[in-house]
Amino acid sequence: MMLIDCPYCGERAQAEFTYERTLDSIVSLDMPVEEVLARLFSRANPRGEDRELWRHTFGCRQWLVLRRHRRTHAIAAVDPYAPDDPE
Amino acid sequence: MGRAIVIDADVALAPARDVTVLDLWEGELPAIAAGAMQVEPRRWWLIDRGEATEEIDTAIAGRGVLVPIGGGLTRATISGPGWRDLLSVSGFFDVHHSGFGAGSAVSTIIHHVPVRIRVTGASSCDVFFATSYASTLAELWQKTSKGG
Amino acid sequence: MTAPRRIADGATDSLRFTFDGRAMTARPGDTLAAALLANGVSLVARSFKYHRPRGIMAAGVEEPNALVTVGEGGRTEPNTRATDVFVYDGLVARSQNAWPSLNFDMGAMNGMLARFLPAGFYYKTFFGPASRWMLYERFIRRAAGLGKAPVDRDPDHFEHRAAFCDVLVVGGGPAGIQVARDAAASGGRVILVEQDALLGGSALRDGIAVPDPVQAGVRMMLRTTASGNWDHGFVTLVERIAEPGQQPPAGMPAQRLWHVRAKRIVLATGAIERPLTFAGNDRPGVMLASAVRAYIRRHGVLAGQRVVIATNNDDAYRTADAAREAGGTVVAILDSRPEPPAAEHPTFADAVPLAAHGGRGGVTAITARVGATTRRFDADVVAMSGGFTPVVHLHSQAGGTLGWREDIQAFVPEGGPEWIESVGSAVGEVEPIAPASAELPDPKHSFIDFQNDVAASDVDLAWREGYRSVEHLKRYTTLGMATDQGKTSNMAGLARLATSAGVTIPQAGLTTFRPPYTPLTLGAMAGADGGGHAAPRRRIALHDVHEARAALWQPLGLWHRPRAYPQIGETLHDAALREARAVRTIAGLTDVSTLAKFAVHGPDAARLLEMVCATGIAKLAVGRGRYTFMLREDGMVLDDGTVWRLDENGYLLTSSTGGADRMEAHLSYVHRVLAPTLRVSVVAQQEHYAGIALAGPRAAAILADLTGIEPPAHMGLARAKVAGVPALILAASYSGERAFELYAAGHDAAPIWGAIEDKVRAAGGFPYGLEALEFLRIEKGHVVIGAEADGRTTPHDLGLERMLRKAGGFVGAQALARPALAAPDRRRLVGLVSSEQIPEGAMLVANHGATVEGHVTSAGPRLLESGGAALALLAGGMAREGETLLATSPTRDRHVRVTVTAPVFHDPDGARYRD
Repeated sequence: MMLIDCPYCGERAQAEFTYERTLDSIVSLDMPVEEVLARLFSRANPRGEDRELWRHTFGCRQWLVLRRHRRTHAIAAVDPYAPDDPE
Repeated sequence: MGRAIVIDADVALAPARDVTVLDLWEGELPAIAAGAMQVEPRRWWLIDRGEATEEIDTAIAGRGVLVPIGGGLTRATISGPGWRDLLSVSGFFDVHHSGFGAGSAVSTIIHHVPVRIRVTGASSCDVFFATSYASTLAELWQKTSKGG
Repeated sequence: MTAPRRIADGATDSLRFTFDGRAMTARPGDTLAAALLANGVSLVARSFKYHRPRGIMAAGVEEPNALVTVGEGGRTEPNTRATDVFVYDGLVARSQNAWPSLNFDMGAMNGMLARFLPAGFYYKTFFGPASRWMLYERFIRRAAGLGKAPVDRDPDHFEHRAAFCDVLVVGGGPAGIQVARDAAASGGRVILVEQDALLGGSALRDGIAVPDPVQAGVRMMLRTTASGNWDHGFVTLVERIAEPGQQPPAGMPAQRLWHVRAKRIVLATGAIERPLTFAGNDRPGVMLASAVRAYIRRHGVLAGQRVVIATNNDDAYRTADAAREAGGTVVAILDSRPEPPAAEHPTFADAVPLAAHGGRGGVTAITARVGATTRRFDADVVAMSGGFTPVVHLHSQAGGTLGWREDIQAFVPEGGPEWIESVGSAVGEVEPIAPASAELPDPKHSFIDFQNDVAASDVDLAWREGYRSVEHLKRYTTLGMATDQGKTSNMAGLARLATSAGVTIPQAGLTTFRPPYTPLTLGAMAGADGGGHAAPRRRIALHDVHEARAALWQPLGLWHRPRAYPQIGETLHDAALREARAVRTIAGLTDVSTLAKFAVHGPDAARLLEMVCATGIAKLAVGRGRYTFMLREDGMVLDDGTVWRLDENGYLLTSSTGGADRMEAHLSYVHRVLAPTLRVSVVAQQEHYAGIALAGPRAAAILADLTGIEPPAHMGLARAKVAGVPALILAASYSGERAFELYAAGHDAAPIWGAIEDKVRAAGGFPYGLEALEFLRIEKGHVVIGAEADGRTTPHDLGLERMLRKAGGFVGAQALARPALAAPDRRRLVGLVSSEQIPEGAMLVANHGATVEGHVTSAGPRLLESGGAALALLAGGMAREGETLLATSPTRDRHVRVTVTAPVFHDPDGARYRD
């Protein structure tokens, strides 16, 4: 079970969090349909580090961006989600 | 921490009733709401503050809202020297951490149940959770503690 | 032959136990293995495949042979290592895998079995014709196996506990104790775990005292095994409070599974001695040299009078010393090295064991090659040492890599997570050894994996049949796949494979180490979830009210809701029919508390709702509500419910019970991720409000009577007191009748139920449960999330397209434009009628054997007429109206002719909603 350093709460067990999706699969409501479909169904799945959207659902309930290595589970950074985050 | 010692803590469950969410989408927490339990960056719980509700409502008019939630909450009052041990049963949070003293509050999970813990004294705390889970947690604590 | 014996030291046996019914005694501190040896029991088990007689080989958890069943009834624990059970008064142990008895085991006629069960037996059988497998299966199942799992319920409870520390030290030998004491001295929380009941590790067999870690401030946990090393310093520990089969102290769990989060993990897990490979190396009496020493020094048990030592390193010489001190005779030290160290024992250089001889009762002699000659030595015990393998399991589990050490012929920890380090023998601080010898005159009886009965010949066969990768070798031969995970066998297996391949061992590779380090009980894994509660059971606020009315309960996710309130002599179906008919003709009340409810407030409340809901929201008047539904991003229906405008900037949104948590997350996602600038507050009130629905032609009159107010019009709302309790009244209907949902604080709602029930019953109506609710909504054609809306249906498929907000701007709007979603042959909602009950879940076909064109999603009886009605998803949808199809359910063996109709069977115009 991973340890996630919530920027609001500090280090907490993964059991308190829920995974939502990778950052590059967020679709806004004004995107054209082609882009929506590409983001939802044609995603990258890199072996290395990826940026993921998580929620501290059973803690502060805030949305967080994890830079997490898919193989080693090493978490390089945990930041509050900011909508202008570059993907 | 002897191996053969049953946890020494007493648990009393009661309807929480007077719990209200205070959400602010703008501005700071008004002075009258000081002492409220902060549960999120922009959310507080007013516990047993019913008499001040109207005044607080006025103070946050236009930039926040009060929403009652106590009808579905149960409060477990846990007391005794073993309260921290009891909360580490089926738990995930470091309740023994020296920084988790009186006045601290935390949201976490115990035995699959989302809970909010408020430390009320050296050997006591309140645990709030949805009433539908009350029998589940009561059963767990009864099995685990001396006075459960 | 001379039996093992206790060394006279003044201690007395004070514990009684039985083995296969034979009463024996033991001393406090004895493992079952030590006590059995002291009682002269050399034959302890029969092997897994070939039923070969086996004894005790090791003194620790690596024991591959001496698996026993301990305990009685629900406390029975099968497959426990006799070396890992401490005798308590009254212990009951039994041998396994032998019939009719350990001494006369029918299965053992099967040295014979060896012909039937070579390496890869299962694979070869599976590739053959199925009949071959059928033939073998019964025979195999009976012959090959471990102990029997208990059938009785475990009377004890198990606990999961969290713990946190700065340093977790695994292993209470000299190295671990040192690290723990140092760490405690520099402050911080230090936990030291030791799987044994005593601290000391290797010091116990060498008779060396160790310092006290507790006095240094270390939290010490004995009889606690670190079984898994996971991500980010997370380690699972299994603490045995009671020994296998033993009743725990009053109020205590039998075992605890600790979830430890450590900032730093120090693995002082020691090293495990390797057996040597020679014919008959599995006979009782052939033991690890370190184990022979441990039984002498720790337990005062000499495993046999005449001791032959076979070794390739210096450590076994200490065993020779110990045996002599204990009064044993060291017959010979067979040292494979050309120049053994000086010793006061008969020592033979360049000497390797070839075969151990003896019978069921154990070894009597050993043949060895000594230089160019072959010699035979009498022996009651053969103490073998093939060197020491560092215990790297926990290091590897957490992703650590390994490096090869030629001098000890073993892998040691190399790289890995920075918070994990290994110390002591676990990093290879062990005796160097001479390179392994390849001479093996009888590979068929030279065992490598003792527990899974894998001999050197099996490894060779696998090689000949083309298995080159060590991972394939493992699966083909089952080497290392037994309950001991190859603790004593992996290195020998690798060495054999490497020899065949003509490569070095590191080139041959290594299989993966997986948790748990030693087997753990199902009870430990289940923890407090045992006893029928695999998940919490959520109780509704009015649980006791329904319980008092003898409700039948229906699980719905974690919730339990009343399904019906049968009267004496009534079946569920009859009760539901009575309840539903009362709603159609008079009135009924039901508990709708579990519906998800969200208070949505703020200047941008309508904007958020219009992003989440696919229907119009902004034009809703204050005091009014309407049906709504929400879509996923791919355009499929996610959930549905109602939305009510409470005041200018305040709404109440309801949605389905099962989707409550998902909807909470969805609302938060849309708000915080897609539209974070919105000034809006969303508060879940699912449990704050208990909900009671009052429905039926008499509902409005009953409500007026109870509240003294004019009942709100359909889809209107009001506030009033009922039985003195403030309630929010929403005039919503799910049943198809005029209806009201009354919401009140959960802790205070019981009087409202009581007051309504009195009036309903006085009018001739009843409380109704989920079953009646289902009948009612099917007749009215309301779709349900999970039945009709099954995650593959769009609003068009469900006939909801007219409600879609044309301007878009809601989640899922873009994806709805996909052309395939408008294909005419999509399965769309229809109604089905029949003169009889339609089987739920049935396939829709034109005739038997024809292509499946749809399926029945929900079915129920017509309530006031005869026959059945159903909702279904059918290719082509309402274009098929009037067609006759077959609803066929092979699993229920029911096949019913149905006619396609509109998906509403009751009051299609909604006339009954008007007073």
